[in-house]
Amino acid sequence: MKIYTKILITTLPLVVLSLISAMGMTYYFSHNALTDLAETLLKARLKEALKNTSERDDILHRYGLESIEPSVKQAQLDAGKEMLSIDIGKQGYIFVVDSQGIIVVHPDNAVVGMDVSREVWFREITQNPTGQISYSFRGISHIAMYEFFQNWQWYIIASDPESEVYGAIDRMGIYVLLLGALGPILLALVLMVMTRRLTAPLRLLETGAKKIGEGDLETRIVVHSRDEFSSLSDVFNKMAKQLQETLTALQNSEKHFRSIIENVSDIITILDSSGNIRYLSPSVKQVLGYCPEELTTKNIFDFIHIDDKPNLVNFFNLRIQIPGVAPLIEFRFLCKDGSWRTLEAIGNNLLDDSVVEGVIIYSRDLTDRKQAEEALAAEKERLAVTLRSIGDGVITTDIKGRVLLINKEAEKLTGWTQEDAIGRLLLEVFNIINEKTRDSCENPVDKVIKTEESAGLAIQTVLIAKDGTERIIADSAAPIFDKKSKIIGVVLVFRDVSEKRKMVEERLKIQKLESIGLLAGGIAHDFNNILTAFMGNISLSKLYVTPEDKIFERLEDMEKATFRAMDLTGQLLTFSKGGAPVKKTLSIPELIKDCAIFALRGSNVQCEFSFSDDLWPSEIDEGQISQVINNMIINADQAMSEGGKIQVCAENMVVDAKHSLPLQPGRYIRISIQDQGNGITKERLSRIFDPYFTTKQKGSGLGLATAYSIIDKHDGYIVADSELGVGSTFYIYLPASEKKVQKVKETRTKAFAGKGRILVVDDEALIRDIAGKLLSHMGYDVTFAKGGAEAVKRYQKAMESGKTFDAVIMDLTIPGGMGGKEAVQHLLKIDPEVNAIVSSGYSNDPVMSDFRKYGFKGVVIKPYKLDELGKALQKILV
Amino acid sequence: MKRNLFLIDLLFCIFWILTFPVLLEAKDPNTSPVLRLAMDAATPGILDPHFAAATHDRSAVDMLFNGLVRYKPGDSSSIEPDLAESLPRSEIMDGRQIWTFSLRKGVMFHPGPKNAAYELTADDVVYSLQKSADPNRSAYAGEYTGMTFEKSDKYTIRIIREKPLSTTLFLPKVANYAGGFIVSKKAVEAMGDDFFKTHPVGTGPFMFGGYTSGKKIRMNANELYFRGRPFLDAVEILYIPDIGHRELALKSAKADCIIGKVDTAWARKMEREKGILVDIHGVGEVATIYFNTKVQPLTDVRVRKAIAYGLERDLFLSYFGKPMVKNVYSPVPDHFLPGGLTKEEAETLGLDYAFNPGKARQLLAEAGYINGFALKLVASEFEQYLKNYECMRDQLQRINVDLTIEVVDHSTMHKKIRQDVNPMTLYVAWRPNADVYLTRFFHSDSIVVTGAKPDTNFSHYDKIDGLIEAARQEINPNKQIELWKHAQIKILEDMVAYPLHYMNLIYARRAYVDYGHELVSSMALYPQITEKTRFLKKTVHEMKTQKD
Repeated sequence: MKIYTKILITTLPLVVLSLISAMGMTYYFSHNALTDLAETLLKARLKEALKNTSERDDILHRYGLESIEPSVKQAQLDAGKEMLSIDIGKQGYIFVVDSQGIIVVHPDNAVVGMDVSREVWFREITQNPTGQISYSFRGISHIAMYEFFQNWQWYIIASDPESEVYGAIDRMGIYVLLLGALGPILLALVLMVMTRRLTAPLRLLETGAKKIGEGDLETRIVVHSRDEFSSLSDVFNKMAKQLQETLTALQNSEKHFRSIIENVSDIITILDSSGNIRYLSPSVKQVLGYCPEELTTKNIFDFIHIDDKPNLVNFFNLRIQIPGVAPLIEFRFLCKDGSWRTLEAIGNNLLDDSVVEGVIIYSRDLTDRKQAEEALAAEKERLAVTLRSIGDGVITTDIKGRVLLINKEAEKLTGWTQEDAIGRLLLEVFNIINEKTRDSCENPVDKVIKTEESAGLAIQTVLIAKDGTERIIADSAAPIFDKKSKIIGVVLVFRDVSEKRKMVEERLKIQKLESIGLLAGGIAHDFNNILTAFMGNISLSKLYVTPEDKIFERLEDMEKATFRAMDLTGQLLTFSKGGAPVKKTLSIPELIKDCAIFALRGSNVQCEFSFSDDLWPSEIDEGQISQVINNMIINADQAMSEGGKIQVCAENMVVDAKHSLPLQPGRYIRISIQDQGNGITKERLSRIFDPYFTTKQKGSGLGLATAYSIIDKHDGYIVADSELGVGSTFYIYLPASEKKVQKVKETRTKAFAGKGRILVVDDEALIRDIAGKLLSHMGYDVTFAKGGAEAVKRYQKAMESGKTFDAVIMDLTIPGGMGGKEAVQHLLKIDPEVNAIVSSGYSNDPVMSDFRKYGFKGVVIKPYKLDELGKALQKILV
Repeated sequence: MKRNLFLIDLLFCIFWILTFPVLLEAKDPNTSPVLRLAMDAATPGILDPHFAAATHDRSAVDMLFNGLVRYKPGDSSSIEPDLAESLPRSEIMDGRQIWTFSLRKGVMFHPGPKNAAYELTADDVVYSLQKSADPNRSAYAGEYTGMTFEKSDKYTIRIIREKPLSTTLFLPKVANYAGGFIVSKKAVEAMGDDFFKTHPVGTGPFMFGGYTSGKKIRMNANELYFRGRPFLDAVEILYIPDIGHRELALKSAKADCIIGKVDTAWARKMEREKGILVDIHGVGEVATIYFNTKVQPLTDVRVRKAIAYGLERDLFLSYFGKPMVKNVYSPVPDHFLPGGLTKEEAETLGLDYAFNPGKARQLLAEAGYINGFALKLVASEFEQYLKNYECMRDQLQRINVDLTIEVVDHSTMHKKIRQDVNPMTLYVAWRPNADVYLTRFFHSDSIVVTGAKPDTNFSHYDKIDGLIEAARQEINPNKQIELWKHAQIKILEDMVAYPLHYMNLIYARRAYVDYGHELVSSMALYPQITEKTRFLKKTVHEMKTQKD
């Protein structure tokens, strides 16, 4: 029997007996104490009720009211009311029974007036004026104290139900019984717990000793007491600690060696004399993918590449006969995933060693190293190919500026082959000068090495190739650093930007011409209006004099001068943004021939033509292109003052995206006009298309500028090439058309007099005046309007009156008012058959070139002469 | 003759209608919040609160002054702190009862003709209570006999009573009623008592603004009122003695509130008017019939009881209408004051004297008046008196008691009954507590003509002096009430007085007037205008629509 059980059996009965005795005594004394307490309480409350009653009675006597029935009744009511407010516990109360046994005061109104004279308890209280009774009322047992109040013949009774008086002790009885039942159980539990606590160290010692015995040397026995158990536990703990230290030293030693073997990346294998694997280090998993257990007991030669096996078998067989270290051998070993890895191994025959009894093989994986070597070689080759294939020229030098490498593009641009260039100083191969000064440029290698930063060349750097060819280049040079950020050389990258440079210059030229054109156009427009008045008046004046008259001669001179002025403004207008081409699909050779022959009339210069047979037609403004060709031929003629030949060619040409010309990709006709003149210097060549730039004493400086503008408006391109002493060539590119050539029948009409009502619409009084005079002269009846709104009103009125206008000549632009474009729409609503002619000296509006689309039937360009106006009217009125 | 009278009345009405707009300007109550209260008097009386006794004067001083405590506006059964910070508790020292009051800080007196506004302190309160206790300076000095007043500090006073008094009896002495109103020491001292009677200076929500002779007094809002600035800009009390004219003023919105006629028919008529509301509320003056026990045959208690049994209370009610008048069963009206007997209590004690003509005749027979007897009585011309007298006369004829009534004007009646001319006196009065009721009507000192302090003990009754005095000295409120009830049981048992009914107050107002409190009963005998009284905008709109 355990100590724990023994202690319980001894102490439990004693404690239970003591408990039961204590409970019995508690119940007995509590019962008596509560009874006394209830009696005391009832007495006190009864006394209080009697005092209140006496006071009320005193008042009656004091004021002589005792014989007045209502007063007595009131006093009794007051006293009763007061009694009912006295608390006796929760259920107790005071009530009053009169001497007849009638209840006169009671908290329950229902019993007031009840006769209790027959009740035993009432008879009992009538025996003594004061006392204590126990009675049952309505089935409830009460304890009561009473006293008889003589003056009012009242038995005043302070009563409390026994359930309340003894309620506490009754309730306590249940608790005592419960305690009697549960107490021993509780005590037994307490005793068990206490005993268990006392014997706990013993159990700890027992458990600890068992664990140490089983080898758990970490175990320590903790006993928090200052007794024998504590000393005993200390002894156990010391023993365990010594044992643990010894064992730990041994384990550390083993762990040390094991970790060395297990953490080397090489594979350590122990084979028996037959080549069977006895041990494999864990690194085999990382290198070959096998777990060591998978290969243990298997024969190593089953995993050797068939090509390497014989060699290895021989090697092994040889080595097992000679103890000690064997030389290195390389072989391929089958990996778990089916691939092969190349291993380099060294063996140590320890078959005779009693501990090892095997051959130890140390193997190292060479696969990655071999692959890296191969990859490096391939990468080197790839880089070399890339470098040679790159579009830019690349030259690398060492720190002294000697060429180390030169790619194919660099070979092409410098004219040096790789073989010739390597080892030479850079400037020998890469000969660069300033485009303007022709001075040698600074060696970029020096610059980079000095600054240790990348550097670019000046914009106007020219590379002179080995064969003397000059190219404008853009380049950059950058230092080459080694791993320690030390400069070990320079890399030079460059490209030919000659074509690109040309394109930029062309773009700038176009922009310049556009801005000048805008200004010139504005001036020419106003000037043209003035010339219209001049021309009209001169035309009219000539009608009033005979050719013999001296004034006629002056008028002729004036007319010529005005023509020149008109020609000048015409050129200005064409050059400017205005004058949108009125295009037709035409055959170029015919046009060129006509123009050239016409321009060279009377000249000692001959013209030779060369046109492709299948030359594409082009959509052009006949007049404008004629003007261009005319200018070109005249220039060529003037360049050869002593005669010569002009070569005029036209050929088809396809411009693709790669082309350097500033043209959209597509089909073009290239016209070249080559003279044999003195040529133009390069400086001048870049400015020949600028307005008012001329080399001729009588030139206006507008010819080539106008030509440039016309070609540009045709979405084409004009460029010149010249060599001093050889001559100049102008190239004109015009877009080819898919349409067929339009055959135009020219009808010549004469200015005839006419009849009819004409409405002239113009905001300028000068124009209205001269137009009126010209039309009147031709026989027309003229009406004027200052603007579109007025014109519409007049036209409407005329329609209503039946005197319709036969034609309306409308100015296209009316500042601040309704112009011709809008007004004609109103007129068409009034009269869909209206004969409207649009008139303008200059317009950037497409209305002039495509007037029908806008509702006009004719067009007349200011300044107009008598016959031009007459023609325009005749066209629509006939 | 009747026709002539009708014509005179008609002419008078036309004159009144023509002149009334001149006297009273009709104002938009929304833009000009001035409330006009029309009272049944021709002129204001005394506005010194320690003398003000008439209903119209009590209403004015109620707005101008405060007490240390006050009856809750609209509910006289509840008392709350006013100028005092809290309700006081008493302590007994050397047999004397000491009540200590802590005053509110920052309470400002109105600026008066000879004083600027200043803060109320203990000096003012002591001065005011001493004035109330001085018979030469107060009509209520008797209430303060045996009391001294001391200043403890600037904001604390002590009231010392030689004889302890219950809270029920003490607090009304310092409440906002009669002598309890606190006046400005500086104003009274500067102006003198007489001038003060017409230029009152207090701490109330409104301050005296002036008197337009024969028309009205104006009281302006007290901007510094400690409960906050009143919603109204001013209150004007209009003096319109004639009920017809007051009615007209109310109907034409020239008055916002009027004191009405104690008559149910009138109340019903006004209630039918659009935009007019009628308020019937307490406190009610109690009508009681006092038997002169020194005059034959009323010396015999059987005769007195016979008369009591010969009267039927409900018949009296029919003269006024039930909403206006309620029966009472003891001299002290239980509805408003502690100490009265309820109907149930009276019935339990057999003292309700329910109408029983047989018993009445039997008692008369026992007393030797089997054929009845005749009495001659003087009655006031006032309706509330005359109707009751006439009703009594008519009822007693059923038991062969023949009453001859001489109708005199009201003051003559007061004079004559105090000369003890009536064997039976019907008196209508309100008293602030049971002690005052019992003392002034039933203590031997108050016996008319012959009493030590002749007052209104028309019954020559002297049997309950001890009970009255004992109750007065009792400081336990419950026991005090019991003593008062014993006293009244004795009165009823001896049938020296037959309690009839109390008569409610009646006021009518425009519907846009909101008094700012529930209206149950008012010690100030009017609905009470306070800082919370205001005009309701919505109703104003309705009123305008109605006028249009």
